[in-house]
Amino acid sequence: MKMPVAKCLVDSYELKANEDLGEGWFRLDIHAPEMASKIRAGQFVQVRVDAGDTLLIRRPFSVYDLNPAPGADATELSLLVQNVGPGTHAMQELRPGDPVDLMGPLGRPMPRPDLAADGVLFLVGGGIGVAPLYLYCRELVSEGSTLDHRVLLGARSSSLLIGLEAFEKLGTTTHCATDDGSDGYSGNVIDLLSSQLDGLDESTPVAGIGCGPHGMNQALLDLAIGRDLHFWISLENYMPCGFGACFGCVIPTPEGQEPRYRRVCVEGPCFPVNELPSRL
Amino acid sequence: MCRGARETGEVLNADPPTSDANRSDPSSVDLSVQIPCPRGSLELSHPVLPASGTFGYGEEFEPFLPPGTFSAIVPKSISVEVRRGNPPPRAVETPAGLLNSIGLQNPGLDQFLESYLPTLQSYGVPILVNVVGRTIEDYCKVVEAVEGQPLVEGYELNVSCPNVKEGLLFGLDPEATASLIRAVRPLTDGVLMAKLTPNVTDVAEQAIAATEAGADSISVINTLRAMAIDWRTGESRIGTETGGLSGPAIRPIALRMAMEVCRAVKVPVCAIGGITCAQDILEFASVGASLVQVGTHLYREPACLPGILTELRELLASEGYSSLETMRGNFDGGRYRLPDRERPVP
Repeated sequence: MKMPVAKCLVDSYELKANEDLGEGWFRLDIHAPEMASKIRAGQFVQVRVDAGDTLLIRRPFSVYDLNPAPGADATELSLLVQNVGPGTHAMQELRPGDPVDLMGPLGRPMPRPDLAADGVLFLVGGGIGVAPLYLYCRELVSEGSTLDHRVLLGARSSSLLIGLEAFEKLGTTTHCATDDGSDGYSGNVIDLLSSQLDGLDESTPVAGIGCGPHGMNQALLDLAIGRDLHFWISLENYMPCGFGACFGCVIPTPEGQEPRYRRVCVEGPCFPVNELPSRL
Repeated sequence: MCRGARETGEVLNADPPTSDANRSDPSSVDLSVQIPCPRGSLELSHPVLPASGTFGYGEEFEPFLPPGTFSAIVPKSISVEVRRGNPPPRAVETPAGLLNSIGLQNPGLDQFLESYLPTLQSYGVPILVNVVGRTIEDYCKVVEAVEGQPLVEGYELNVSCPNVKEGLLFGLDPEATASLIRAVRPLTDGVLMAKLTPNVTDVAEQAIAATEAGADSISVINTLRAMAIDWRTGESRIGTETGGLSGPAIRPIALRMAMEVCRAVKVPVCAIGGITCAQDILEFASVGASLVQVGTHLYREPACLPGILTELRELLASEGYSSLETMRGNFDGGRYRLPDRERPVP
């Protein structure tokens, strides 16, 4: 018998706050009780941007935060947005009270690796990729998880380490890497991960989830395959629909497997590294 | 109300509303459509279908609305063989449009029959199977295999594909289109719809060739061949050099082509191209289209159909029409029958 299909909401919600985070970044807090209560870390929403008729396609955003707490009681969801083009520019212009048209929840939640009690879970983020990782940490905290999880954040410079304070407030062990050495490890976040791994006892079980720009994801994939690590990577492919209809966001299966294209929006956006092609 | 309407309706519908005396009851407005075919006539409850390639195989829309809300379903193209599709990136947004190069990714005929058709049948509305092929034989194989399956009431032949055997593009050459339709026609007594490409000089010529060869209906238009590039890298923004453009950007072109086809043939015409709301549908009906397909807009508003149907009834009622059919073809009243170049200068 066919499983009942989970309903996907498409509706207009009220913007409660638009906080400027500097460097073109901002956080939108949206009152969306029915949707917020269903969202898990790693899932995303598609935002309809009504900046004239020229912007046709919704913009996908991983959910950054749920309040008052992730789970059935959540009434408000937050998105972390970087102004990179006309769509996100229009979103930055939104003011409290404005309607925000959302579709969601979409995609699959980030996995919970089955780690032994002495294991370490690395959460590696860069750029906008920190958004789902923050919600993931909040879920771990609200579940009372005792899992040793460490957040590694990378940016070009300290001013671009968006969301760092939020992780610290949560009490998560957070390490950062900056290309210019202005904060934390001097270098990229994958080199930081590498050095952290080198510092662990060889018998320590390790897993991780990465979410960042293309270059970071590729470097993480190379490292994870090279060191045979149990990692997942969340992808940000361009998604015209977000719910599997258009076949626009596909990635190929890895070399050596039956060649086919998989839809990132419905089969992902988070994939284990052994299911990804060597070149993202 | 369909959300698309607030962007286009106010601008395009500048006429003052007619008086209430002229107004009919929206709930009694008849939207039904008949498509005559050798088997008899396929009756549809309303004129709105999903455009092939934007509706998957129906399942993807279940989280939003019962797929059987559409009066018939046109699933994503099926070929005999499995098609992997084109390398990514496969799509990019352009002004009021979407440029895609999906490459007709599909599970192939066998998998379609086994896994996808039963799901489509569960929606309880007619299915018009969209078929693509590299040879005439390919199209025939798909139609022969699917014919007779419950709820398969017809076919939409994608005649915009390269004919690898004869080195032609079906749809670019009237004779190639006609020979394809002639070959498929004896294999079904259901609706045979030819989906024409806009990438021709004279779309009416293609439509005439298709109907003379036995097509019961014409759908226009498929996507327009187009490009988007990054001049800094010198690369295409999609995985192939050119792709197919859809969305409101192409609607005025689709409207012109639908008009040309409606004037050239007597069979029902199914208009496609950037439709987002009831207002758009009525413009296509005005030039003579009997049916429409909504495509790219479904990515933005997958649950838009019930609102569109309500608005369609309300708009027709507000102008005193009791049915879509009575309004259809009201464009121009014979004033502009001549092509532009032959129109006398006033």
